[in-house]
Amino acid sequence: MSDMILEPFAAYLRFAFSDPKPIEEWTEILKRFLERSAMLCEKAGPCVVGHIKGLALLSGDRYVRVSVISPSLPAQAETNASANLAEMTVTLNMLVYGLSKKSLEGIVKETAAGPGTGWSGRVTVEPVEAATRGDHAGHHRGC
Amino acid sequence: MHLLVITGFLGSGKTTFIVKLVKIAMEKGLKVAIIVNEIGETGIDDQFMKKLGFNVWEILGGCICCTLAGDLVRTLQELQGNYAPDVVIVEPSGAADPGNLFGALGTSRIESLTSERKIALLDPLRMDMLMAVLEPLMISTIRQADLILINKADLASPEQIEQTRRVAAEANPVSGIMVISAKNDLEPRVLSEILSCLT
Repeated sequence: MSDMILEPFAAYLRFAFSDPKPIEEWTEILKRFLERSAMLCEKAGPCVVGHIKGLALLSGDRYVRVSVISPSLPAQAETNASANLAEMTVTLNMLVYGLSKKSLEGIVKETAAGPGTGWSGRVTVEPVEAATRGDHAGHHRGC
Repeated sequence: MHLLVITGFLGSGKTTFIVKLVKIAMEKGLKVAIIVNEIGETGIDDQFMKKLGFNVWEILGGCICCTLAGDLVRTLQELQGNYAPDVVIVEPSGAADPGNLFGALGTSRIESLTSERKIALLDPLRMDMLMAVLEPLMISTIRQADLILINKADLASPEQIEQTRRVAAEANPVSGIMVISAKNDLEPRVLSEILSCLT
């Protein structure tokens, strides 16, 4: 395990639906997204899901927070929002030992493509540029 | 200036716990600053805490347990000079080794610190798995703490909590161990224990 790489992958997920959806439905969609991503991590090879988490900052002091810590545990969500929304941007951070950043990006894109998640909207994935926060690739090999 | 360092592996509930703690400390009239060190190309925890209106300082571009240990010391010194908080809460990345972090803090001179508390959060839902694959990090986390909180009491089975308690007590027989659910209200005895160093 100590040899497993930790290459965090971060992205902005832009969800769009044709009709506004209640926040309860959003939290279920986001939970399913993260659970599916964690499952695909496990299928991709030997790895340990540290934390896959997402945050949507909504208007005012409203937010939706979602996270998963294992492919075998349900995702958790928390929100103080109540509005119906047709679009949402979620900042995603994946901290998974054993999978490269490229693999994680592929997993997120596969999840966004929809099969197995059951949603009818569109999700685009925009990776966060490493330059904005420094590149941590492989950093925790020797920490 | 009191220092609370909240350690714990990724996903152990540090941010949820800190949010709860900061709200309580602010209700008591304390001026609180939070230093967040999150690995990854974007910070989620700092954005969330800022959204809640907390005073958050980020340390970016690496890990405060090794490459950025100096940045943590500098940030603490600057905070004292510019903001003068009563309490500084540090949330290291869940991938950080607290042994390295406290080593760096211990050798630095931060004269304004009146107390230092090291609290470790443990996740009983994954204790078995984490001990199997990350034992040195888990043991270091437990050994460095002067208070160990077994989190997620609302989700874990009694067996998982007991097993986590056994591991913690074996690795660190000296420090107190408490069971909490950071998602829910913290019990008065837990709060009293955590905040005892601040009064």
